[in-house]
Amino acid sequence: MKTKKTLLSIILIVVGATFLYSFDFGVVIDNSSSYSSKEGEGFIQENNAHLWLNLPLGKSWVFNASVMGTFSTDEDKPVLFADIETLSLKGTFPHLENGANLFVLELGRFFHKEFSGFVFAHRMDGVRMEFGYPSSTLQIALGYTGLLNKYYTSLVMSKLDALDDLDKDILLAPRRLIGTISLSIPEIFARQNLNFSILVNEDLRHLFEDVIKEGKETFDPSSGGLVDTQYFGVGLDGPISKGLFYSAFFYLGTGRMLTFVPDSQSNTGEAYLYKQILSGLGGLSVRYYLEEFFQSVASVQILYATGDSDSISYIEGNRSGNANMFLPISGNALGTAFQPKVSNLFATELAYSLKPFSGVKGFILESLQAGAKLTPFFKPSKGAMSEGEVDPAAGAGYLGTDLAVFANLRPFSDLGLGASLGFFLPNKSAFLPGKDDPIVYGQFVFSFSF
Amino acid sequence: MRRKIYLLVALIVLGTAIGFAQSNALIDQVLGQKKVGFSYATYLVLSAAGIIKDTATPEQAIEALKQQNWGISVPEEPTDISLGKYAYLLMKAFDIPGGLMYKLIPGPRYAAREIAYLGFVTENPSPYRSLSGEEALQILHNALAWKEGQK
Amino acid sequence: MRKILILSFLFLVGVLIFAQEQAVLREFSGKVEVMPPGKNWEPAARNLVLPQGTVISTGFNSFATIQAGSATLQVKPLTRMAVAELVKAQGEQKTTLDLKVGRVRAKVEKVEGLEHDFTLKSPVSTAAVRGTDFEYSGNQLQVFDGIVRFLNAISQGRTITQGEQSAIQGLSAPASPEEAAVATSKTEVSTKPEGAPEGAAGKASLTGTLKVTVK
Repeated sequence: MKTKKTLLSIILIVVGATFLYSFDFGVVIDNSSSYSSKEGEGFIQENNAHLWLNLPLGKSWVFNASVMGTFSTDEDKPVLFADIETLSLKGTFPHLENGANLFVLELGRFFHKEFSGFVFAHRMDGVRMEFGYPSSTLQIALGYTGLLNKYYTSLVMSKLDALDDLDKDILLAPRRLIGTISLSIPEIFARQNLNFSILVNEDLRHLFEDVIKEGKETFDPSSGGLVDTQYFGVGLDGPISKGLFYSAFFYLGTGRMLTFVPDSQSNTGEAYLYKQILSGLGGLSVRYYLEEFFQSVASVQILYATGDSDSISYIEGNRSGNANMFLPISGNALGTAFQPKVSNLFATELAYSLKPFSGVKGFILESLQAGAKLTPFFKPSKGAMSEGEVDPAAGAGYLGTDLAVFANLRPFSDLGLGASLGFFLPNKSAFLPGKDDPIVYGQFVFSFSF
Repeated sequence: MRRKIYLLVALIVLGTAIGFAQSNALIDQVLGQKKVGFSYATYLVLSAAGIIKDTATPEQAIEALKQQNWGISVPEEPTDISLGKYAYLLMKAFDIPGGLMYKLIPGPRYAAREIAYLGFVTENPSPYRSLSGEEALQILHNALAWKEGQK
Repeated sequence: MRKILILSFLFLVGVLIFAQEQAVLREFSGKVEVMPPGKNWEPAARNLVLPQGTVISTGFNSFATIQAGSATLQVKPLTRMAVAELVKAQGEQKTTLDLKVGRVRAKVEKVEGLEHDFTLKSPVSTAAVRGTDFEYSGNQLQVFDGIVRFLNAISQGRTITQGEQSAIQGLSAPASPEEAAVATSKTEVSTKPEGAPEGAAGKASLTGTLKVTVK
């Protein structure tokens, strides 16, 4: 009864507010049709519908809400599933007199990412504050991921996360508490922007269920422990000359991971112990924009993520000493047909795109962007990486090359079309026997709003 | 005869000066409006598009709008114009093509979406909100610059 | 008598040191009007002197070129601009213009021995330049020559150089030059709207100052 009254009050407030101030709403339909020759994938189609509402509340506040529903042919997912995509109240409070500054507060469910996009780029439920000053911006965020629908998330870091991901009776994402502090200092010198970031990822699973405790002396393949991580990052980016830009960053990854290791104090000679994570991720990217030649852009991107020569698997695979494999929480990846996570990886992406009809005003193909990417992948260390087909016992070396072509078109403001075709040509000696076939991948997407 | 010519020239100059002053007085009124009126907004768009002279009055602009048969409903009483209706006026007056939904169901809602996509609006793109005279002029400015760029 | 002479001499020196600089309407086309201080609107005329406090207005398809010391301004159509301040001291000239609405292209020449502090103010910004060529419309900036510092209402800034552009939306920091390049070179497939900018609840831009200084 009380819940009904509360719900009714909220609806009345929202409806009432729509008559007081301007609002906007709409629907976006996305379709993704893909084919991969990788074993277990095949043809997958996903149709998403997003219903969104934007409601300014007075001079300072904005209420944003969107829900999404999906119809999927992916056998690893239900046919129909849905989630609240965003649900946030955002307040902006400028102070324009002497000592001008800006305070932004956001509460609810929102998308959050750190400056590189490779460590954390994900939705979460929580609070985010931003303090804007003339020469810097400080952002503090705290969020929880345990209320998200797992079919819209990519937060698998521990064995129990992986087991839950396969369990169709479990609908919610892994329970993690994410805290971030970021400081950005634009144009600190010679138009270069400096960024600092600290992320903390606390696994809260033990508060809700049993996990393997430290000291257990028998190996249990059906369970696992906690994976807590912290990241300390610094980045620099800016222009080099007209049309030429670069960005460079480094993250130190620390934390702890449960490891089944030799233990002299154990009766069996082995035991589960929490081992320190000590890892690193570095990246360098250079982009050149040549507007005069069909709005073309050429880029080179290099990523290096440390590996662990003792690891026999990506998830809790460390078998001795510290865990040295870099573990992102949920971030971007390189490649098209082959898309390993940034763990035990060295990759160089060369890309080029242009808009061949950009000079023909009013032509339906004016917005067509076509391009190609070439990404050779290497394993910097013996040991496992995120792709299970890669042989953990294989030493450091060349993995293969991903080659892709793509085209994006926006013929109308409310219709977008995209297509990509990728090939991965593996180095067979780096892969497990029977898992070393080339991969063909194709995808077509469209987006329509009304 | 000479006197008559001088008188005629004086009348023309005076008339032009009055016409000049009248259009600027209107712009002054528009700039002072926190919620720009429908007739003033119509005057801005139609004179920018060359459909009426800039010496016309807002009432004359309304009459001209009725003659265009654009399917834009003209309010009986003086009232504010919404961003959506202003966008629709712009789309019709400057023959801006619009998206798929605008082609299927032309109207204020998808006109507002289109001008937001084209970058004419930098504030809240909700088609249901009002807009100030200053913002209306700036949007018109952006639309004219875009039109110029399409040539 | 001597006192009168000394006072007169000092007055003349003061006038010479702090002489009012002149802004002159050099060229125009279409419907351009001016409103001198305390008077009504009147049609523009070639080489018309624009004293401090004059408001210039260009109509549809109308342009005006104004000379203010070492600065040449091209006033674009549908622009309303006031001459707020025009002062020339020894070795320094100060020009301040209020851009109520519209767009202006400003070219400020570097003159040996003269530092020209040129300021353009709008409801959301102030542009102060020394030796550059740029186009400015209150929340958008395009630089053709020189270097311009582009700041928002809370003085968060970007340095924009030749061939680059930037824009401000709501209370956000000015866009980096790369953001503008990405916007033109990349085609976004997703049609999801980005939503209302921060601090934009259906109101016009905040009043404040945005300083653009040229180094």
